[in-house]
Amino acid sequence: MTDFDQDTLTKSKATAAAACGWNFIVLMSRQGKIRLSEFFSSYTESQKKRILRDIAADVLPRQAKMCNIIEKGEYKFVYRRYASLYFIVGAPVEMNELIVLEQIHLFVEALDGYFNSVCELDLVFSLHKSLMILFEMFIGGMLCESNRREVLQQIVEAEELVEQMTKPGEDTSSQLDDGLSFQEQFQLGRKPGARGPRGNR
Amino acid sequence: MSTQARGLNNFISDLRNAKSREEESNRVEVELAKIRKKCNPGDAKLAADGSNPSLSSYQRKKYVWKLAYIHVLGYEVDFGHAEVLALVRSKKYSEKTVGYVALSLLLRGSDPVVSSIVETMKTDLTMAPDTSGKKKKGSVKNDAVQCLALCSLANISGLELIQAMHMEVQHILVSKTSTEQVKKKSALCLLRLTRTSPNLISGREFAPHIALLLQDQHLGVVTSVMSLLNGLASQQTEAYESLIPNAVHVLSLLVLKKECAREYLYYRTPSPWLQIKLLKFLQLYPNAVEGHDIGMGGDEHVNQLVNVVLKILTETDVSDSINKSNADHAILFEAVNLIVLWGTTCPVALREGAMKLLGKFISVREPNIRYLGLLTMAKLAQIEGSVVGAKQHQATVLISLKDADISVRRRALDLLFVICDTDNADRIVDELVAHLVVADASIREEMVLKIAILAEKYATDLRWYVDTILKLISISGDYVSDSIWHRVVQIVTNHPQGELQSYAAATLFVAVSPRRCHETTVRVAAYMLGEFGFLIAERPGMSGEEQFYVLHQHWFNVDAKTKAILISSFAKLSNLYEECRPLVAPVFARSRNSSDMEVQQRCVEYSSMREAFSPEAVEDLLREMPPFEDKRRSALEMRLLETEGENSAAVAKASTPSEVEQQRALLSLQMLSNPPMEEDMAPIDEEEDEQDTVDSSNNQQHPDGDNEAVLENGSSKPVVAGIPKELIPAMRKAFSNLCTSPSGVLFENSLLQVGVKHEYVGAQGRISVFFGNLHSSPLHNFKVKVDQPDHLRTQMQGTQDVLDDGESDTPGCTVATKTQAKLLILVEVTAPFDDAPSMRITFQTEQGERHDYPLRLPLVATCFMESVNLDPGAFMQRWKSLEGPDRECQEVMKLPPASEIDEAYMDRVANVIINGMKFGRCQGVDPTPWTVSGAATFRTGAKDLNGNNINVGCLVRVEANPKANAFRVTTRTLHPLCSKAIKNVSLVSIKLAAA
Repeated sequence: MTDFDQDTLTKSKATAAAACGWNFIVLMSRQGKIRLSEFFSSYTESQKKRILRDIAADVLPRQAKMCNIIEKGEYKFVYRRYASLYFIVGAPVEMNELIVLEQIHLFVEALDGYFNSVCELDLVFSLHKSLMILFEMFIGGMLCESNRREVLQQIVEAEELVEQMTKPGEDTSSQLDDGLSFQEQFQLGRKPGARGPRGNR
Repeated sequence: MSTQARGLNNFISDLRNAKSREEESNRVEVELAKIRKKCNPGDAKLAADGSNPSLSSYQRKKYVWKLAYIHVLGYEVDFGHAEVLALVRSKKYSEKTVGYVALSLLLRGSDPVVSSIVETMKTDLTMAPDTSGKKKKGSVKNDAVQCLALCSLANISGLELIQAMHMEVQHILVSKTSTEQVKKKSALCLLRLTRTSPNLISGREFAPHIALLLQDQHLGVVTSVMSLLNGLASQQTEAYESLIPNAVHVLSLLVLKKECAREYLYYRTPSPWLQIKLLKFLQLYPNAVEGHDIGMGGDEHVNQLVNVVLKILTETDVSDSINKSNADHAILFEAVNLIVLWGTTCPVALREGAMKLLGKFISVREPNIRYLGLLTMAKLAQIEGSVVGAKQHQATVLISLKDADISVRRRALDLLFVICDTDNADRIVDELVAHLVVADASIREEMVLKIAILAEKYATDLRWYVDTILKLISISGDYVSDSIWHRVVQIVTNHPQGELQSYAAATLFVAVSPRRCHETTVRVAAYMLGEFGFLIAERPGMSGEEQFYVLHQHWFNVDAKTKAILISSFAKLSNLYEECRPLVAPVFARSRNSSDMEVQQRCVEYSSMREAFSPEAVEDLLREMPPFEDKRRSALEMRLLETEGENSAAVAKASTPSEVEQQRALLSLQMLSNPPMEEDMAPIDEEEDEQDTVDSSNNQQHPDGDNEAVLENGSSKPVVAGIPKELIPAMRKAFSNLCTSPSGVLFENSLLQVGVKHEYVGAQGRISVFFGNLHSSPLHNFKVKVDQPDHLRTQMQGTQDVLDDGESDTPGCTVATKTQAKLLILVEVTAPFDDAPSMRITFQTEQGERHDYPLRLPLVATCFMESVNLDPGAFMQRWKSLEGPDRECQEVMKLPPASEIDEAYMDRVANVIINGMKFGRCQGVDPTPWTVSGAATFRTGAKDLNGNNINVGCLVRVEANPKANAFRVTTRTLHPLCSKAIKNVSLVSIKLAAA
């Protein structure tokens, strides 16, 4: 083997090992509405727009029996569908696809634990909570804590902290966490209390 | 609950209810305008940091949350940064937490405003944990704030922040007082920093710290530290090699002993995340198991490692839970990747086990597993000796090629590409070509490229390669890039051995004959006929003129690039064939004013060439191109590299030459190094000296534009002497003449004379061929190979050993000087045909020069005619009954201006039709001297169902138009091939009768 080949071989191995974090995560509804998006690597606005467009074009039309991986050159989409919501992760080519799928699931489980059976509406109206959970679990796109209980404990502690430190009557960030009333839920066609997870696919 | 809280909720509800993307973005615009006004009201004075001091804490948080919300919906948010920073600076945790989350979302480290926050973040980072012992608010608070800062820092990164804070982050990571929360976050934060600015950390100093951290009881910390280690080790691999035993230790605890805290079991699998990271780390060291044998001792940790991998391979089970199955298979695939990287140093049992598993995976229904199975098998198959195992699954892979899922199809294509070799190339390439017809656009270009590479790599017969590429062009010509057809040209040019060049020319002649064909076909055909058209010019229906016509019919439908190629070919044609000149001249004249530079230039140059240069120089200029330089990487491989990147399996495969390719290269090399070759070429290359003056314009005919290569290779010419071009016109004349006369000379040069005598009775013929040595010394290894087409039953006998029966080791005979070798051929025709059998003569002179002359025997359809005398009525009746496109064949031929049609000419035409072609003239139907009509029967030896010989009735009509100086030949028979053959022979004979 020539020097040249040796060089590239080493390089490719190096990138393979370094690739352990997501480039981005996007939550998109079946209708193509974005519920959450966070880009961990730096992308320009136009690159982001392109990615979001690609997701809508490539992922949404796929059938359930197809695989959950779409190659996009330097990165790939790895996605998972929960009821009508798609969780799409942009991962480097070298990253293990199956483990990305499970990392997504881990995130969903954490959300589920926090919201007690999460649904799309929770994510929409308590976006800041979802983001805090995301940042608690994934730092710079890399899985930081896989222990769901510990993640949730951190979040709860932080919430307590906010409440403890505010004088009674002062605003708290939890005031923003004003989910839908029972009636509203009902209007949206959801049976109150019956928010069971729809499972994967 | 304040009313404003509902503000955010209302906003969200509004967006949710938006019916379209437009409505949503309008609502966002309104909100953005409102917030912009709140942040910068215009009349109020702003604080020093640019934030609006009149906003209450609650308002500020609310607006920032709204901005964050708008941002995560994918809209650009380019203001409000001052408010975010104000929140970060706040002393209140509730504000800080909002500020940091928004900071992570809205800002990147490269933003200039970030520098104003450096000090705040630094203070937050280094906030000393409360060590007073009382685990109360304080310690939690510090811890929490530290975490916030670390997390934000990791998310936004940025050079300035890194410079300012990486020391602190390192310190926090290794500090004994840091809590687990802080440790794991600082590890990942540090990883992010080193990724943005590599070599922040010296490996030798830091490795011991990592080793210590790997022993942490908290699995979350270990996982994060492993991420960091992977990042660091990929930058300085050697510095962390000492940590392999530590990694193996952690891995074996998880895999072999299943030692893992309960919270870190994921669907009963011990932390798959950590296992994967450990395996990825080990992949950095492909030599870790070199020289290891299972159960043969060696390093303890190597033993352990092999056991771990073996256990992963053998004990991964299918599980009902999709999550468990995914996690387990993720580990399994990572273990296989490790085996792939170990390559040949890996114990064979592991490699075979992995291949067997993958074979199972590529046939399962679960699409992800199948996808990854295909992907990984392509990697594994590249290890020496593993491809055999992969080839067994060829049929399964072909099924996946037809999957509905594009991702799976891509992988299947890739794997097929990798396992393709000489044994299965036929099958795989055929399957791929068949699939190309139905393949969708997204994958076509890739398929075309790969098929082209495979066909070239594994063609045992290069004619198959040429056919394959032609198929590609006709199926999906738009995806056949220039580099693909350039490659065909290169290959054909570089392989003068055998009949490849004439085959390519003839095949392309046929391909370009229809009115409609793909433009790429026209390009290849133009180039090939320009270069090698002379090799087929003696074949009936493929004369120089006809070559011109089939090419020129596309002239008005092609773009300037193709026209430029056509012009060069026309120039070559007109140089070779006198009769093409009047055809080509008007084309050049018309295009002298073309708006396309290249077309214009070529036309002007070619048409004034004869005045500007000596005839020898012109000859030289229009000579066929010298062989192309063989590059290390062909243009196709480069293209593959571009699309797939350096580490794709396909690229590695494409750049390794196949056995067949090596043989071909070797053959060419042998011929090149054959010393007699140079002498051989000498007589033809007499004008070599003048080459310099004309080379530059010669080069532009290379489709590649690869000028330097041509110049360098100017001297290396085809290695076996063929028929010099100067002889071609004379040869064609001799051939045409012999078609209608019983004996004559077929070929003659200074060494050899070939004479032919032939006579026919009904469907049978007797052809004697004489090979006379005109040279002063004997000709050795003299061999003649006669093509035996299906439509002729042939028997041959001749001077001993003169016949080449197709086995390469026949030595051939020696023809002494001034003597003859003889060959007698007895034939019986069994079916109509329209070409002439080829006869290839090869020999070597005393001096060792090798000669190879492809000739054609004048054995054409009209030889087997028997004249029929019909009265005018019967003739007209038959003539009318044979109307129809399948039966009639017609062509108009314009004579060169020099000749004139007079009655004497018409007599000669009638003579050749009656005596040469053995037609019975039907005087009564020719009212004027300007027509000749005749009838004959084509006799074959084939029997019909009743046991009678099958014969074909043939009618011919030649009409002259002296004013237009043109002839029109119409033939009508029951068989299209007969019509065509008679028309062709008539045309050449008429032309010949002119003199």
